[in-house]
Amino acid sequence: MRDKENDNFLFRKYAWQQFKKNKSGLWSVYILIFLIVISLFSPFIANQQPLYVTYGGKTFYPAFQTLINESYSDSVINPETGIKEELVFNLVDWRRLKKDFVVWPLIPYSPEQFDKYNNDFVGPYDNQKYMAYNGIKDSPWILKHHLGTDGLGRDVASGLIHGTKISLTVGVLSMGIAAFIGVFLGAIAGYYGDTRYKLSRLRKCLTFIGLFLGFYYGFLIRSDSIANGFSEGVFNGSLKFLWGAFLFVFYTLLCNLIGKYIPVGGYFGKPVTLKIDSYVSRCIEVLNSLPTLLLIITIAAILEERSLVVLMIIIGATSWTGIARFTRAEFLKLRELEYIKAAEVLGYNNWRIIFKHALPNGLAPVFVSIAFGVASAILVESSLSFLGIGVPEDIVTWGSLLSLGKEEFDAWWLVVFPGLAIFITITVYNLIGDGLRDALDPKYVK
Amino acid sequence: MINTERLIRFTTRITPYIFKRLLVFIPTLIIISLLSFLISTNAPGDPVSKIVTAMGQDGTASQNSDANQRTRQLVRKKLGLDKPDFYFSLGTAADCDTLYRLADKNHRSAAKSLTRDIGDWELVSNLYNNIKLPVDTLELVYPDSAISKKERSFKSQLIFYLNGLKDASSKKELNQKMSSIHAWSDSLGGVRFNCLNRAVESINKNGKKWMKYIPSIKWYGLNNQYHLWLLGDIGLRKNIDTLSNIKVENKVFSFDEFKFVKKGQKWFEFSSGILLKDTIFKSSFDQLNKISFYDNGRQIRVEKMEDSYSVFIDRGRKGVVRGDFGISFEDGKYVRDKIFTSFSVSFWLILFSIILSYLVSVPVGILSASRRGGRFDRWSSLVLFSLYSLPSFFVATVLLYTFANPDLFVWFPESGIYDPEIFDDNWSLYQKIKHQAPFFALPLVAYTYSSFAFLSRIMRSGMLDVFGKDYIRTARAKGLNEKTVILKHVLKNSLIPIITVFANIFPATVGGSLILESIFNIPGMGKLGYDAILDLDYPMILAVFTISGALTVLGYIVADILYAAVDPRITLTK
Repeated sequence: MRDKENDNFLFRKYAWQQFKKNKSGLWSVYILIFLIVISLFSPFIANQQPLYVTYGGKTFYPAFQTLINESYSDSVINPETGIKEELVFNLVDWRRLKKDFVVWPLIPYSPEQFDKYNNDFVGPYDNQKYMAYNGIKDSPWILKHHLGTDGLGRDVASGLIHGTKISLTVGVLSMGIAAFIGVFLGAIAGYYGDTRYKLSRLRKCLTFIGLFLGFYYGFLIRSDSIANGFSEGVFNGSLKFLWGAFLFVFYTLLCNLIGKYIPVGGYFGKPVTLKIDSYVSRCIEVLNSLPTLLLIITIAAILEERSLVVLMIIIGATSWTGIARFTRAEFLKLRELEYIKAAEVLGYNNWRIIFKHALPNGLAPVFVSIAFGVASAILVESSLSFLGIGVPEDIVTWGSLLSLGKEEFDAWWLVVFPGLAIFITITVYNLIGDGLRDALDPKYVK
Repeated sequence: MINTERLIRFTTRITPYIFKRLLVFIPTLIIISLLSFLISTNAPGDPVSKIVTAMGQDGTASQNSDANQRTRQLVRKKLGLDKPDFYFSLGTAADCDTLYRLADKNHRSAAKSLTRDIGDWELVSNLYNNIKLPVDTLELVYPDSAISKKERSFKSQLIFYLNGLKDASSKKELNQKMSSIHAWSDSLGGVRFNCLNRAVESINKNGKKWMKYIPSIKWYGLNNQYHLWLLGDIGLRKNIDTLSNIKVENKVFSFDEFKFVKKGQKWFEFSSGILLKDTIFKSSFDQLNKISFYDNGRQIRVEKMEDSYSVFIDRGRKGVVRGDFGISFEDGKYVRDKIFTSFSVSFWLILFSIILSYLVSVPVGILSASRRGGRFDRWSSLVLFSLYSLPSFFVATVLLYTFANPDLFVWFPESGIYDPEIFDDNWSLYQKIKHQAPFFALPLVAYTYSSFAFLSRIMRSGMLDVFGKDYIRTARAKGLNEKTVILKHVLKNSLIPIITVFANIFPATVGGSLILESIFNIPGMGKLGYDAILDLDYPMILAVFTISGALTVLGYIVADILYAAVDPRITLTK
């Protein structure tokens, strides 16, 4: 007779229940959700365009309208002079107009907007001015820079809100890339080891030839084209790079498969092993021995292209080693388990065993290390923008705000608030990682 | 108490492993050095044009002038960049195998792309050979004195476009540039450059685009940059030149194309009439008996023999294997010496911070683990966790804001490691420490806090791990009091993870201290590497990467040995 409760047992459910018992972990998830909401709705939380405005008898929704078309424009009859005038939304200063009714976003400034009445490091408690329709006035509460401005008059609060999006995206996407590389390499290294991947000598040789051809036709002769693509734009460059990567994989697989189906005897027909584990371990060791931050800075300097996508790829490509090591260790254990042995005996395809049978059970430590990895990726991104490398200059990030504060010793708000934002985000991810580790460990019972 | 028998057992257990690791260590190091070599040679910008620009000779107008090209070649030769990068190169069948001889990096990469696009180096080099003639012809046919101002501007445009042909990186771009040259020459009275036209025509007609699909490997031999860097002149002919055409006067000393002039206390070096960088002289030049000085990578010795002087230029490089990391492009000093100075700064800082954090974290870990769940444990966990998540550059900036801020507290100096106005190299050790201690205070705090948090967490979890073991229950059951249990039974075993972590912290700090060093302006390893990257100082980048790589790998080996030393159950050989 089967136990009903056991029948419905799902490790996922159990882990979530365990995780919920961890108060700080749970709160971190709530804060993370809050941060995600902020980053999703950042154009409506911090924007120089009002959410709703009636002016000259017409009603506009500038924050929404400029979201679709940045230079949205409309003609309006000026209520003062009676002259018909053109309102180009991203050029007009709504503060200066005599509006009938207006609903500002919570922070009525865009991160890149220069406020020329409050430039030169205006603090939260300093006297703040704005240009109204009838001259320069003290800012009312809604139009204040509540967290101060930097030397160019950019609003710190707005920069923080929009920086949330950048930090979270860089953290999550770069760790996504790292997880993809790390899980794949770790899984095959752990599963095959040094001895279990057997293939004919011909196929081994052909695979190496395929790797060479793939590199040659995928990247070497296309290097100019890829570089040109990146100078035209990130999208073009990525597309050309991905095509190169596709060619690389294609040639490698092609040669490998040719080797598989050519019947050959004698010396070339003898089975040999491919030391996958050694290759992967050596790669991890080399990458681990290079100073990561210096490496990232150097690569960012070589590529010259300052864009977030490139930055994410660099961080992802250099930080997969931890994930690969965890996955490898897990697979070393898993491959000795009975159900994997059973799958092997049943004659299942190796790839099916790796990705369908073993991987779901080997992911637990990977999740933990991804959570910690996101924290460190955010740290790397903010360190780089603190140093002024990698992130485009016109994009305001937490790190770039903090670096502005370094130069001006009075502007404490430029140091404290971005620093706290980075601190909170990193703490949240670390706490989630901690909670996940406890929840996913079956031995640990709270 | 050292048990000799145990020590012998341990040594026999560990020796094969160390040998095995060291065997792997060498190829790993070579791969690291190769990677960093690849990185540094692909870095954007050209150190040669940077130096030439610094000499004040480089304007856009004179960029293609003969004198400029000569200077570039000379600087390249001085820096050792006039050699192929590596033993062999992997390229296409179309590529030119002597491309490395071109002085201008932009021109070099454009020529490479163009050759791949056209498929025949002969055609491309024919094009480059035919660029100079039209420029000279223009100068002859339309001398500046004989033409109007408008025509002069046409002419300069035309010359600009003609020289710009060198930077065309594809057939399409070349033809575009040619059509604009035709347009400009039409407005200058219809000059036609027949040779050039023929060269471009044959490019358009005879191009072999398929050539780039044939891979080809070219062998360059031992005389390449990487070999010189790694092994020095091993396997190469020792190249000591003895020059004869030397002139020595009161304040001028010259040989070959070099000329040294004394102005005030300093010697300046000229070549082909162009001022090169200040050369570092090892000895005074006033008694010209026996002088040796270092000139970017070469030792030059001048010896007085009876009436004449002999100059020996030692082109030999020792190579990394013999401890020679080359010469910094930035100031002509030995990379080895610069690294040694900055490494010792980093080393002492890191060592002190590690000692400090161990002194704090071990008691904290013990206290919080022994009263698990108590008030101290909860609060210290919270504080430690927060410290662990605080970004170091934030902490450093806050520290500077608070304790080195003229508006708040000026307890500590803002940056650097000593005050150059007061500091004297001849001070006693005590005086030096007394002077430098305030400079190191804030950096030390910033270095320490994160490793302290990390170590305390490891210590605590290590203690908790041991608390769950059977032998602790036995010890308690025996009736030992809690203090003895903790200090005698738990502590000893829970030290394992925290000791072994030491070996991993150290190299990580060397490479990772870059941000703190640049905030506090400490001349350490991280800042050295960072500045080298920004300054395109290839030998420095290579050295920093290789040395930190070597340190990291050594750290791993030491960690493994420590593991084996403290835990007899661990076997290192499979």
